[in-house]
Amino acid sequence: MTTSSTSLWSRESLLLWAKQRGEPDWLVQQRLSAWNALEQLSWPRWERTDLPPLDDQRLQPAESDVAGAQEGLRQQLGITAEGKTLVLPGGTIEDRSALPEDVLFEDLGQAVLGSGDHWQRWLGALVPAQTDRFTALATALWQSGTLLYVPKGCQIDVPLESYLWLPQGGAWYSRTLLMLEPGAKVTLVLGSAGPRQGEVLHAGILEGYVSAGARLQLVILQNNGAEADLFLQRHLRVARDGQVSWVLGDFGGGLQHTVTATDLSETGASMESWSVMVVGRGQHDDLEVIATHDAPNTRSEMETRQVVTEDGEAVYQGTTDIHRGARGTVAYNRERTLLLSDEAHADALPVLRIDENDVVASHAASAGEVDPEQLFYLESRGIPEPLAIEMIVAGFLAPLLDRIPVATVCQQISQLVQAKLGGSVR
Amino acid sequence: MATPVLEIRDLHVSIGEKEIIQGVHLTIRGGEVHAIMGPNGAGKSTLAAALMGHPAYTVTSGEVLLDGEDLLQMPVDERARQGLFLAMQYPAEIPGVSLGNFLRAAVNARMGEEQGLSIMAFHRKLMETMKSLGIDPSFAERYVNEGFSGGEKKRSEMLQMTMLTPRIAMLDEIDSGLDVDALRAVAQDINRLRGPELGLMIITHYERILQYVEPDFVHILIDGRLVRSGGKDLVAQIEEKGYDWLRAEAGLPAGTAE
Repeated sequence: MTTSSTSLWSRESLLLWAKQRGEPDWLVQQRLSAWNALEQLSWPRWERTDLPPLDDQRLQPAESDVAGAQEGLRQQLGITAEGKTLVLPGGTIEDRSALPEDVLFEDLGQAVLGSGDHWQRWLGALVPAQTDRFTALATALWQSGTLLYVPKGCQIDVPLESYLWLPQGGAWYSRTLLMLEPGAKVTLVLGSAGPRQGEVLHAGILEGYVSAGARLQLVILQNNGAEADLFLQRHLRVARDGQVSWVLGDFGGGLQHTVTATDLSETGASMESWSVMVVGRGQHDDLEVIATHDAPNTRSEMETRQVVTEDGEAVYQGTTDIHRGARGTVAYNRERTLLLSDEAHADALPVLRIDENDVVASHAASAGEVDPEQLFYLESRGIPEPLAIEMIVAGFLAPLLDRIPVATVCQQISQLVQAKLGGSVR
Repeated sequence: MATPVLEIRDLHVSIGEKEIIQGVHLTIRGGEVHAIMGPNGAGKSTLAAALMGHPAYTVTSGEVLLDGEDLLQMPVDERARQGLFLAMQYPAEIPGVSLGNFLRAAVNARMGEEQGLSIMAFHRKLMETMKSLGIDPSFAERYVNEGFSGGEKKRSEMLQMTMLTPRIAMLDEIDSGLDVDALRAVAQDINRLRGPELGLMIITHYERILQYVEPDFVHILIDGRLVRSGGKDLVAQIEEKGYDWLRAEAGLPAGTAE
């Protein structure tokens, strides 16, 4: 089913394709140097995630079924994909009326054409192509992704949404760029899903710059097919008094390794991160969330709750890195795991690295199974076991969902949890 | 609908290798209140938990029929849907699940899918019931049993019993840990539900609650056997003389209970 219409699998064809698209020289050069770097870069080696051999066939860029995207997204993420929504690939927004004039919310692949060297210094500054082989591939071969630019002082009250529909085979490479000018405020929902069947690989890079006093709420939901392997690098830099709130919801996919990093680079910058992972049959989901405190009076709070069913494998590493000079830092790092089957496996590893004395930092991790007394209590009121387990899971996630600032997203996540467990709890 | 009836015939229950219930016979019909009394460790809670189907207890022999149906063949949730209710001495906490949502799932399960209530209808019924029991509406928002006082836990069990309209209800030490006001409130909740549609088993080792909820039958459970059954005058005898005379009468060694 792989439709590799864009055969970019050589330096020459990549050069030709980029030039035909009318890309600026700097971008063509960036692609080619990433392509050249591929040779020297090895596949990443992760502590708790084994990468299977990946042949060229799996890495060939492929195209999505754009026509099926809307229906698929509706089914798998429960969204309507209407209104001020960007659907990728294709990059169509049906209604821009809610957006202030100078806001850019579009497909980065289109935006870079004919915009001179405007975006040059931002692409690759936080996630360099040379990070590993996946980032080099994504830098060389990306075709599409979300661009969001919010000008100074511009506050957008309605959440913006951007959805990605993956191809049924081959590979998809994406690049996302978020820029909030000083005092800007926005909520962005990034969702991705794809056909339920078909071996597909997605390597993606997300970079974001949150300027002084700006506030970004970034919700990332993922419910891909069981054979979608995802290798994602996300990196935000937060300036003075800027605030970032991540909400991560991982439901689908097969083999996954994701790094979500936030640099608190100036005084008063803060981040919070709320992650929900529901990992089931045949899945291996490895999520790393990193907060780097590089300036005084910065704050981070992260909490992850994992629910692991059947033979799912969940890995979560929450890293709080407090550099020398980050005086007055406050950092909390919590993770909890609920195992729903004997075959389920979870690793939750909070890491605190502290190189400064004047800080308040704590971490906690716990893992457990469904309490048989809770189950008996619910069943003794007539509630069948599968529903009882769903209720216990919902209760387990509730304190985390209560922290999520966007009500519609809480609801969406609850529904995704329910849909996922409805199929796996017996 | 026919009068509810729970028939227990020669029931034996073990925990692991140890036999706790050693041949209990008892029939409870709608409209009747049966008090089960006995010293600590006699097996009172085991009897109720085993009838409800708690996985820690194994029924090794005997027969239990609820309205003529084989109760022991049913999983826990089905026993409840058939009309059996157990008010627990130590109800589990369910963090993150509100009492209201929990009750809605329970009521809908009990009533069956077709007769299930809409959210609005359920909410109305819940609010009416809470009002009639004198329970504050905010109670429904709280997570099930989490941070409940002893009295609140028991009132919550009574609220559930009222909402679920069971046919046979077993109240396990519903009076334990209550001050006199809370005890009166719980007794009032029970008396309100008395009637031909409900058979009640009240498990207690004090006569206190039986001053407020008058039993029709009193059974004494010692060492896993019902050694004596009688009317409410038996309660006064226990109060006066303790259990040892019954032990002696039944030919059991004195004071084996802990």
